Amino acid sequence: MPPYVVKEKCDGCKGKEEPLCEQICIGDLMTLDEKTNKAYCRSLRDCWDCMCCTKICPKGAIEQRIPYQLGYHGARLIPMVGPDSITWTCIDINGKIERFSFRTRNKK
Amino acid sequence: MNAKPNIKVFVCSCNGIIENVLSVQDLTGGVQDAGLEALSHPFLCSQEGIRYINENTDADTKVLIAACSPFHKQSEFSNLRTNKFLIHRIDIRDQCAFVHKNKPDEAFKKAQTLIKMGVEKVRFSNSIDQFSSDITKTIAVIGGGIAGINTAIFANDAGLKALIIEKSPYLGGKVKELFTYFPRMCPPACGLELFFNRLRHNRISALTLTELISLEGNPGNFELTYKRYPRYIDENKCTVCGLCIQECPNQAIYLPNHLCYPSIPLLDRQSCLNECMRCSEICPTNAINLNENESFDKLNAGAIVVATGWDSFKPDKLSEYGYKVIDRVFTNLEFEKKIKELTDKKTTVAFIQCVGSRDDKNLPYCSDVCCMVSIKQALSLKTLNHDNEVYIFYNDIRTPGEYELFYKRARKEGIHFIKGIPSEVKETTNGEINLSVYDTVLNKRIDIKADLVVLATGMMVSDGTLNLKQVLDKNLNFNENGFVVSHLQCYPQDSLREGIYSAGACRGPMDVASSINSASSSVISALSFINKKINQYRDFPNINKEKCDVCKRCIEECPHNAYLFDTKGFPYADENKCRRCGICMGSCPVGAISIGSLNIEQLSSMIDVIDVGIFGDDEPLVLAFLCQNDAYRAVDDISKYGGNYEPNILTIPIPCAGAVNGLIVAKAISSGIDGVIVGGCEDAQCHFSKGSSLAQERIKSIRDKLTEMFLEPERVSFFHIPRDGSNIFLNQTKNFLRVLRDMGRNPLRII
Ligand SMILES: Cc1cc2nc3c(=O)[nH]c(=O)nc-3n(C[C@H](O)[C@H](O)[C@H](O)COP(=O)(O)OP(=O)(O)OC[C@H]3O[C@@H](n4cnc5c(N)ncnc54)[C@H](O)[C@@H]3O)c2cc1C
Ligand code: SF4
Ligand code: SF4
Repeated sequence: MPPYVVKEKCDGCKGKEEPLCEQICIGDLMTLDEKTNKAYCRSLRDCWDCMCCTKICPKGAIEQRIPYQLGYHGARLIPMVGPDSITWTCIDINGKIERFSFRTRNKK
Repeated sequence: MNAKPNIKVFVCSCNGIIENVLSVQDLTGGVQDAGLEALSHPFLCSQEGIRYINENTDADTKVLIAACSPFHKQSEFSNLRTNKFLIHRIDIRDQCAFVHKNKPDEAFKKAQTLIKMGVEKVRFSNSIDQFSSDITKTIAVIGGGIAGINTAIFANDAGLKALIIEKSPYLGGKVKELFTYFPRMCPPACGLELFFNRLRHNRISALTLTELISLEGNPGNFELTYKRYPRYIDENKCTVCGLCIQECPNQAIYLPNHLCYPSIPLLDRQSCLNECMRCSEICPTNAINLNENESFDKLNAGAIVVATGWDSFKPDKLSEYGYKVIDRVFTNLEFEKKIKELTDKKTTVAFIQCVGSRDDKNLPYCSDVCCMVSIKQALSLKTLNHDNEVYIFYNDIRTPGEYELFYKRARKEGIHFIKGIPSEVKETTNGEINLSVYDTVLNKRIDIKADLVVLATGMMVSDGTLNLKQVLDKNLNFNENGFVVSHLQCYPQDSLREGIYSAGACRGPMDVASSINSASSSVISALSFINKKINQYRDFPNINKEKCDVCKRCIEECPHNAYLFDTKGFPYADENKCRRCGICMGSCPVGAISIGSLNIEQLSSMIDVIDVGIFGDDEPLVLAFLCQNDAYRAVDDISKYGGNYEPNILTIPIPCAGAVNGLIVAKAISSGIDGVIVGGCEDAQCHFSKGSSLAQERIKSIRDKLTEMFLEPERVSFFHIPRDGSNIFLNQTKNFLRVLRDMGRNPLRII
């Protein structure tokens, strides 16, 4: 299920052209709405749910629902990224919360 | 192969003071167990202590000193042989042994943790060398009033080349229009003549009829493009013989006053009606060229001082005072000229204070000089004829410091001070001026008749300053009243950009003495900037190009506009504009930026070595990133007042609250640390202007994320902690720990 950009949080990466989500998306699906200066996904059905954009967004403005094959409507997966760490919070359809912290292969 | 890193830890017992609470031997023992070299000394900051460190280290040794606050004894520890970027100090005294003396076990654990973190900090530190750069040792002064002239003279005396850019035809600014100077009541001409002579003798160039039109280059090597308006008379050729003045049939050539610098006549092209060319024909040195056009040129300067002065408030809007309706109502600046024309005929003059000033609709501030100016003008009227009647209508008389004596003198001379501002100034049928006022001392309405009325109009930002605003744009900071200031108390002479300073009344209303003082302060800053630039450390931001995604956030968030693009399209910080605040390091979403004194690797590894359970499974552990200019120092002070707080808070000094990257806060929370504090100055007081507010913006994003994750957002908090905020820290952290205890431990903590 494709990314959803929370408009109030997105600041268009302040840099005018090519925000981070646009840079990182392997399918080149994210881009900036020139009028509002907010990011959006230009082809929802092409999204692979890799969540790269969700992870990299410094404003935490991109939300992603879990594809229905993995968790039904209402389930959520939220990443929190550190320099060399990531913490995932999974919320299933019953509201059960699980968290996983990992070291990533990024250099610190 | 020697796998052991070249790290040495020195632990000080501070003549037994630290030892009283913490076992120095156990602290060094702990480090040795981790396979590193640790040495102890009873008195590290003494000469022997410094020698001891130097004997045991070489230039590449990474040195951790565990002793008092890193902000004590800085000059002593600057004598170490190791590259200063490889030395790190942590505080096991003021923020440990002292404040937690009642809890020695916890104090020990905290000290041990701080040392472990310190070791990581030095482990990932890099030595940084100095480099020398070519700096233009010239100061360009914009504005040739009393402030600008003195700036140029001071700069010249300090061994720099100075140059003045003045937009009007002559130097001297407003001062040359003045009749006398308070408080000594001497003619401004006398002082000005002296200054002009010094300009002449030192061959300080002054470009008159010149305006700056663009600024390029960098601090240390600015390139200024300027426009010169035609003067029609060649300064170098004119001998001021005066023949042209006599010859012109339209009086288009004249000397505006006897104090002209440059001392050549002014040719007013508008008044030159018939282009008879008689002037250029008569000029014996061929100095006149009526067809001269404006020209453009460039000059280089290492530093710039803005001295664009002030303008007089225009009272046209305030119709109650009869300005421009009655021809005998003047502004105080106009009266400086008028007073020269007055004879000893008995006259009654009324002064109205605060015209436009201290008035929210006009100038909300006090214009500083008007009380002194009116008293000066009043005393001059008394000198002219002691029978002259002088009234000063005022709300408050402001003559601070010794200027009070000047006020006393005026009282003695019989000047009438009436507390109350006239509500109406009207011309009577017999040509007198009537001022109607409610006297708040007598508590009744009175009417005063006067021959002349002087409006003590205030000083406001000059048009010239506003014009310059368009050219210098983001380099200058203007306050809400339009004056050029950045940090009024501590750095009144600074702008937002290194290498650009301000002097004189463009900073705000001030008298001549203060203008000259401000000139010297701007030169000192410019001079120390130039000297520092000649040999500087390469400690400006470094961008890891493997990580950088060119989102350009660093460029947007740097408060000093230091970022540029390199040829490959990556951002880089211009070392001459960068002030090493680290705000870009805090801004980068992928953690690609490090500055010389701190990098993400260090902070990340420091978090890695923290044992979150040191104080017990249910005891909260807090990491506090504190601005080292204020917040950290406020915490340092707590021990001085015998205060104490719980040892659960580990403090890390950072160059600015804005240097804390969200990734680091996320990592701390992910590692099970229960709470993170970022402590910075009040937004308006941030030393790097935007750091504190950016930090709060970032904290807000992290809090939003925590909420989404069903974690308590309160775990991450921003505290405003000013330099004297020891108590604020104590109260806020007491509260913070209570909230954390109520919440229970961070669910991400692994037990
Ligand atoms: C009525 C009155 C009487 C006063 N009497 C006294 C007194 O007796 N004693 C005392 O101590 N103080 C007195 N003051 C205060 C005094 O006038 C100021 O302190 C002083 O003029 C400040 O000097 P300055 O050089 O900062 O500004 P200015 O005198 O305003 O000089 C600024 C100069 O910069 C030039 N300039 C402006 N913009 C540009 C630009 N963009 N490019 C190039 N050049 C530019 C202007 O042409 C001008 O020459 C009096 C003030 C008033 C209002
Ligand atoms: S350290 Fe500060 S001044 Fe230097 S580039 Fe980064 S944000 Fe700009
Ligand atoms: S903020 Fe970081 S990723 Fe973005 S352009 Fe600057 S260095 Fe590159």
